[in-house]
Amino acid sequence: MNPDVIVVGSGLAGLVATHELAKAGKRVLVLDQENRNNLGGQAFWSLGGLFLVDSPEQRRLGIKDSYELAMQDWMGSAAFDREREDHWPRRWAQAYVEWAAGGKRQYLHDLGLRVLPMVGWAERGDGKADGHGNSVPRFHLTWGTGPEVVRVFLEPVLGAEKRGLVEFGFRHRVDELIVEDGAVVGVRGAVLEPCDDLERGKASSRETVGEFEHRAAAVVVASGGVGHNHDLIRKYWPTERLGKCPETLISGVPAHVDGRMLLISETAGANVVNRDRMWNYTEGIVNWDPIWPNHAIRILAGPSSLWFDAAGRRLPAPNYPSFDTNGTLKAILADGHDYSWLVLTQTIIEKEFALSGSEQNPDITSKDVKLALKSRLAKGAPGPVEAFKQHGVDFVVARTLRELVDGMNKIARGPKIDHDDLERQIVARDRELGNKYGKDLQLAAVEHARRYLGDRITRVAKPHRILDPAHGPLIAVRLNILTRKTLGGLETNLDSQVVRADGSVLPGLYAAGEVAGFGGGGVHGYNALEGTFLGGCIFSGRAAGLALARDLR
Amino acid sequence: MRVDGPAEGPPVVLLHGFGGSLHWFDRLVPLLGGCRVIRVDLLGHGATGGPAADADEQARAVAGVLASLGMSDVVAVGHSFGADVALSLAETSGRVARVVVVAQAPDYSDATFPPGDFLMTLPLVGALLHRFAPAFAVRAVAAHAVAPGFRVGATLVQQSLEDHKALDAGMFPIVLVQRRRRLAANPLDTRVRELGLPTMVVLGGQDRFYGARSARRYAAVGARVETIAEAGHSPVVETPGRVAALIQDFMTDT
Ligand SMILES: Cc1cc2nc3c(=O)[nH]c(=O)nc-3n(C[C@H](O)[C@H](O)[C@H](O)COP(=O)(O)OP(=O)(O)OC[C@H]3O[C@@H](n4cnc5c(N)ncnc54)[C@H](O)[C@@H]3O)c2cc1C
Repeated sequence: MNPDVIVVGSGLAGLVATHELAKAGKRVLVLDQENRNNLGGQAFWSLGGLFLVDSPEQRRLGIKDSYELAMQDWMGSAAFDREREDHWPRRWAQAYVEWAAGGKRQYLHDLGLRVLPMVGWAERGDGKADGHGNSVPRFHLTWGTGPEVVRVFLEPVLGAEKRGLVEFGFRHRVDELIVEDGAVVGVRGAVLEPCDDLERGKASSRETVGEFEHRAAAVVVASGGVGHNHDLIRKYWPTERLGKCPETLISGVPAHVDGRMLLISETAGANVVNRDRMWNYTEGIVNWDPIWPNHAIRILAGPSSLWFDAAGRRLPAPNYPSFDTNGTLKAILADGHDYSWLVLTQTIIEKEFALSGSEQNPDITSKDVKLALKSRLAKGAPGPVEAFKQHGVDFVVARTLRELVDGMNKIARGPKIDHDDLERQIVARDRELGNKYGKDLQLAAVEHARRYLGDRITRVAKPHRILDPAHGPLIAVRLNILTRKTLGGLETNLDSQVVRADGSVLPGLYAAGEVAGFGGGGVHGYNALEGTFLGGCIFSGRAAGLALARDLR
Repeated sequence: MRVDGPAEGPPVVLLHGFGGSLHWFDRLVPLLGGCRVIRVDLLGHGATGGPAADADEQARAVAGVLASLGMSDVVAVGHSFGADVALSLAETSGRVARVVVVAQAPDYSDATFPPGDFLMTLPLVGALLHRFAPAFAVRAVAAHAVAPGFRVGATLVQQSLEDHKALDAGMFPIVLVQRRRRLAANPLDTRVRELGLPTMVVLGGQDRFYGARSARRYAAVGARVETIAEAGHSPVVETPGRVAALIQDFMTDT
């Protein structure tokens, strides 16, 4: 094949770019270091949550959202403060919110993607109207989760493969971008040992069996972030902003998210910006049934669980579950340890615990309505949550607080929890339930959340005493820091063209998805509003595809 | 009237469409960083109120505003009916250096209006209907003003309702009847050619008022034509980022 464009990476961003290019009749060679089973990359494992603004789903639930409110939230969260490095990210942020409030839903709808009627409220923020967080629920779950997000782009791309417009080179690892006369004209790399039968998500061999070189008018880098490369994360960890980098990090992404292409692109002349901005979660638990090495799962907890640092001190307001990821990370690291504790009841786990990832939500992933209703509305925790409660190394379940504390101290990596002190804090919180009002801000937040219909029905348990045996048993979860998203990356303009350090365009090179900081080299700034990553891959992949379709002769 | 941006910035005057107000540019203005942006509510509209007026009279009033601010060499941006005002302003005031026409066809030959609009042109019926127009009808017209699938949003609906309340009923015959005749006799593409100033035309690919023929006509008279595929009749609210980028690019065009 004599391709017009080479796309590096067959994750979501690469597939979207390929789809747009093939739609315009361009010939595309897609290279990926993994095998065919891994098509779609991280997006396959994702929960498929999508950030939409003022959608029909929101309106049906009585949520009043708008471009203006979403811009306020995005800019408050991003807190852009760098003149040069935030130049393109600011432009991308505006363009992305405009799209999320405008054409995004229709674009995905036309491809056959549907979202669930319940809208989730992620990242409720730091408590300030103009600060971080979503003022209203905006997290729209794809019916079919991550695999469905992949499918709607993969199917047309596979159609184009049949027609000869698209060719894949699997197990092709790009190690170099070829630069001639100041322009990127192709790629060089190694062919890795074949492993056709290796399952999706498993780490694959890095044994090489050959070399390759391909040339085209343009190269689109869509290679993902650095999430599985803990060395790089440690290297760029913003200690002054968040505190000392955790000693124990568990991996929320597969091994192929290795960040290598960042350096490779930089060597070719690309500018990498905002490397110190990352989106790692504080609610990581070790997967008892791992797919990739060091496999971590993120708990998506509703707002009722009590959250304590490693020493057993309740985290300061408003560090409640699903409020302020980076704020809470900082609060946890502040006492010098790298994990924290959630303490809750059986009633809370049944209503408020979900697990991120397609494989942890078999009902919605398989689009099984009956199973979904059964597992979400019936008594008992959803199957996968219950399985973690029983098999997970981070869970302690006990009848009494004393037994619970004993269990916690068995798995504590740091200081021992003092039973009496923990009991005092929980009793104090429980006492605040005597009135419909009180001074515990977390309880106020819970009451507040229940005014939103979606939360009341599916997400927030009725407030009750944690130590009430009728709501037991008691549960404690050791939460680790889980690596996930890279917010900085290759600096790109609104056509996804990579920019050099001097601000000029690097001819022939485009970047999309997580490697480009989801657009511009950091469309999220310091903080994300959630559900914005898949959308950022789609938006930037589409921008690259459309620009190339327009500009290539 | 409202003025935003640094005093020394290049001046831009924004002219809203029929039944609108300066708030239709609320999304666009913050994105025109560095520019001195002047907006007014046209006569018969918004906070200006007062009797209705045609495009020429509107232009005279705007010229007065520019004179009192001591502004010249402005970029005049007109959305929909505001495009007529922008062109009149350019033709008569001598204060305009460049013109941007947004979502406005040269004439009505290629236009479709929401059903029922002709009723508004009948003198008494129109006034009554306007007075008692139910909110859903205003909302329906607002929905017609954007691309299919674009969600008008609570803020915009509220704005449309307020603008509608403030609108003088005399504007209906001016825009729907007299303007049809004026445009037929002297279409905007002809005026762009005769004006001879650098002109950019920004069209919505999914405009439900005007078809796609405008692009060729404007291009034929030497205007720079930009079509925003996913926008409807109101790119200034639907795709403010794209419009702002185009305006800023056009300002530095040589
Ligand atoms: C469990 C989980 C849940 C998530 N949930 C959500 C959610 O609900 N909402 C949301 O918005 N986001 C979510 N995300 C994030 C989102 O899925 C990712 O950010 C996104 O899919 C990244 O896509 P990408 O195409 O940029 O990169 P990737 O999916 O990482 O794909 C990059 C591809 O490039 C290949 N590659 C890399 N380097 C090379 C090289 N040198 N040569 C050849 N090939 C190379 C890799 O093998 C890979 O296939 C979630 C992520 C995970 C892991």
